Amino acid sequence: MSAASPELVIELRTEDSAAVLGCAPAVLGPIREDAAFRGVLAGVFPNDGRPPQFEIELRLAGAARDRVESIALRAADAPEARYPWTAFEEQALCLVERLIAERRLEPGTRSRWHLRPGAEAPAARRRPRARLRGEPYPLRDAALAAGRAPGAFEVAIAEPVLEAGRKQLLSGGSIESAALLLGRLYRDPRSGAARLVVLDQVELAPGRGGASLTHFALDARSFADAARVARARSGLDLAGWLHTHPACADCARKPECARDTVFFSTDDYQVHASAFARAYQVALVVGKLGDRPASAPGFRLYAWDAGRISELDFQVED
Amino acid sequence: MQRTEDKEPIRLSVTDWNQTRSVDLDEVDPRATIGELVAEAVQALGLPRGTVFQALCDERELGLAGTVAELGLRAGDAIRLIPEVRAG
Repeated sequence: MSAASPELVIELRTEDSAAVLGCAPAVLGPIREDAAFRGVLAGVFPNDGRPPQFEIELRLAGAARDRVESIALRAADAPEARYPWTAFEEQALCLVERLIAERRLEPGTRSRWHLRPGAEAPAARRRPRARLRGEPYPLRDAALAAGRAPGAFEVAIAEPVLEAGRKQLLSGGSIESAALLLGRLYRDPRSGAARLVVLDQVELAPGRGGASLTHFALDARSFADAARVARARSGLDLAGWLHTHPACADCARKPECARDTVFFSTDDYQVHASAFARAYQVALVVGKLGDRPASAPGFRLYAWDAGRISELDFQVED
Repeated sequence: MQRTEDKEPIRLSVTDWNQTRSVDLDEVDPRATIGELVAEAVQALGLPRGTVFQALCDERELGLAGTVAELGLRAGDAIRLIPEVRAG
């Protein structure tokens, strides 16, 4: 058992496991964050911004005991949080995308991945000691509706935010756009359930990489400009982000077109994991739903779920 | 000639873009590159290692190949990590 983060590697192999196609270090940040947030909601950890000191135990499988089946995170006085190896699936998909982009993997190649312990590379020089700290979760106590399970997480979005997202999509034509989402996070002290209410949005300017039908680049200028505006709207916290997936030209011409552009891509995962890593931060995608014309855009909400990203239903608030 | 103080390890902090989480790096070798510190902080903060991060100190962008000493960073300086990402 180790208190430090063990080195874990995502390894992609051919379907018959004969050859290694590529590897990437697995990032434990999302499962650590999930366990910390759940612990705070349950009242097990104080909400003081200090990350819990987890001991990590790997359950290994396979004849050579070289595959990680699950990872247990343990902290004093807290119930064990256990995550299956599949909690790293989005990270594995990012590896596949990277290998395809680097032309090291043909699109459509049948492959499988697993998680294995890795050896830490020797550092070129003595590594500095790293001590983590953070802001407390911006939780406000509130009595939420009865019947919420302990640790349950729900999201409500104000209608004006959705209307702004629709307008952003339709006015952007065939170019993606994006915005920060601002809101408030509530916790019911009786049940430990949480509710995120998204109340406002601040448009993000594209970064140096620009924007197109299929991408929207974000960089220091994008984040700094939007954060400046967001800070001026006092009392609201960063709740996540919104971005648009425009309909194609055919969709606009043919109302009967059944194409659906509302999905969460591996690029979107990379944005979310890099900039919206707190367990309550969400991603809202607006675009053309398969059963609606392009002129009536729809939404899907994606949220952290035990270290992974899952689609989550949301309520609409007036 | 290298100044004496350039050889002394210093303490720096690195924060995420929204300054909600940070990592204090103690005993940073002034010969360490910003890229090495960014990699250290990205690992400690649990951020994706495949993402490119810009490093800013105040509003100044720090080149990843530059060293702590070359860029004139001082004990107590805070580096902010801003992801350079593309939504799809």
